[in-house]
Amino acid sequence: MARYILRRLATMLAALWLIITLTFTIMHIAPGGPFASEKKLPPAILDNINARYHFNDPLWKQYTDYLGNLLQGDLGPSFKYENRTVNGIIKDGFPVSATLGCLAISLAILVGLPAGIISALRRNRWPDYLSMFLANLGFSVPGFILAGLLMYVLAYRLDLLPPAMWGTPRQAVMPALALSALPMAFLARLMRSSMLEVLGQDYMRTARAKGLSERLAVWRHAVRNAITPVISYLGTLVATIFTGSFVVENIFAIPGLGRYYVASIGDRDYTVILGVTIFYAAFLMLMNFLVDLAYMFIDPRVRLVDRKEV
Amino acid sequence: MEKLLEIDNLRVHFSTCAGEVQAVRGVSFSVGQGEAVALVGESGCGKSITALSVMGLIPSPPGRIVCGSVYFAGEDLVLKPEREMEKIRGKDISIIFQDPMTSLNPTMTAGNQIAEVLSRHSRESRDQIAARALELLKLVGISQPERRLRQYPHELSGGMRQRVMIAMALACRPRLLIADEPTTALDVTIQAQIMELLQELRGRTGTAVILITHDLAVVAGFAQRVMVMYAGKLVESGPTRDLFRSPLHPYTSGLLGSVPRLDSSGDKPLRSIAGRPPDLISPPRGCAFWPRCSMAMKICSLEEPEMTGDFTGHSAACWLMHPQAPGHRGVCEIGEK
Repeated sequence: MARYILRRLATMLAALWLIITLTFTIMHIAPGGPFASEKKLPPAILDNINARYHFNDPLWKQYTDYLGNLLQGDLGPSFKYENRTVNGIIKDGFPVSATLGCLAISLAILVGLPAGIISALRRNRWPDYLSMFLANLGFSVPGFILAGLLMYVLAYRLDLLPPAMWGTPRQAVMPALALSALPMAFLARLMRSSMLEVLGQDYMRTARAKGLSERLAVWRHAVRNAITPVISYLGTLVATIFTGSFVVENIFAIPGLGRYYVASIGDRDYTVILGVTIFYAAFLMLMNFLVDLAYMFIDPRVRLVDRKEV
Repeated sequence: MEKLLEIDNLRVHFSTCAGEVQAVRGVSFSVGQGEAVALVGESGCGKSITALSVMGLIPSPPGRIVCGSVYFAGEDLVLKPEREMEKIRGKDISIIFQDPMTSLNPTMTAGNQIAEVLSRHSRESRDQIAARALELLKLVGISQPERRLRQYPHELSGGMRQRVMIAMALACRPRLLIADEPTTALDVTIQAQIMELLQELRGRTGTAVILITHDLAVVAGFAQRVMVMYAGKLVESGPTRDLFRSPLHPYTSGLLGSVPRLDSSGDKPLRSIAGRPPDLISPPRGCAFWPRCSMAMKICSLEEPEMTGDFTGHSAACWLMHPQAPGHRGVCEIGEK
């Protein structure tokens, strides 16, 4: 077990290094630079700026310097926002994104899983048709369109909720809804098909033959077996939520990390691009790792495979 | 012998997109207290469906019991509400399924799966139940029972899993145990062990057993009485010895004739019954076996034979049993041509 965890951590570090290197390279291949869009500066001043930010150094030196600073936990200053470091941007933006993300994930799980279970139990009857209709809708309508619709109906027409910004719980409702629609729909469909498969298994008949009521058989035997493929999706779910949040944060003017990230690419804000990429990559890898660990606790068969491997 | 189970004219249909499949077409038989009977027939003859009807586990839809009754200890189980059936299942009547690989929940330890039946049907404390589960594993002869309790099905061999199934089925000391092809999915050597175990446990607990199988070799050493099913009906029933020695129905002779024998010379091809079982969506008129029967007469295709038998309890549904039939009661000799 400990060896497995160590090995996973080592692979994650290697992957992270690869991501840093690739991002660094691609970023520098792309035309333009952090100060290209500003008004024309006198060459002497531009030289000064470049020297200040070490842009005159050869690329390999910039790269090794960056890695060196990274190892000390310093992601460098932002080129765009004065007096702000990348660490500071992440520290400010991430809690907002994380709050929104957690809200959306909880919403997706709390609504999606029960909807999928009910669908499977009432297969081909109206609860199934209703939830699958909604799931297909949530599946096919992109988040930004849903966000716009929500804004129009709930904020503009009905004046129920504030249209944008961040801070109060009421302001969180619409972005969380918009962000959770896709994963919620996916979870519902995944859970439904998984439940249907499990309900047809022989051990469900065994459970009934033991004298368990339908409800107990479903709860004790079906749900736990049906949930394993859903758990493995959770890692991807987190990624979906975060990429989705880039868009949703922009639409609702939420000062989350996603918004800075999108803006930084247009600005060629090198350090922010790199810093946030590294941060997201590390975060997603960690999530996937935790999901794999959770998987081992839920499905005993995975434990066995792992034991053989280690 | 006092009757424990009495099935009367049971009919079970399944609706499929091709039409209504008449899986069980009027089956009647009874099982005495502590008796071991075997229900024999090829796949699809309705033997498992009959068993599931007794358990009240016919998947519905698409299946439904059209008519008939299943009297267990004097009460008709067909009319019992689901809640009442839940109290009987696993306690008074239990079942062992064919495939122990898939019949156990992969995410639950063997011990918990056994404990579940106990806690469902008794008010014992956790510790008592745990102790009982261990005792049951010892009873079914599993090695290292303490360890097995904590193991998951995938960590157990096929034979061990079937032993766990048996432990589960016997946990509440049922009065009737249905063993639905309990050895079909197992290796031959394990098959013998499992049958021996069932035999031994039956002797010890006095549980009545219905053994469902297509394997006649398994029947011989186990059951006191054999019932042969064909196309959703009983075609022959009788004491095991009599039925094996002098089968009355041509189908039974055919089944016995197609068992490979160790003492026969290898150059003779294995005999089989020509043709296929009838389509149960529209079963043939008359005797369902006549299209495959080498002894078929005109009457066979017109009218259904009744179960007729002698004083020993050996009976069959065949027109050859009729006093006017040619070669009356000489079925097996002719059948061996």
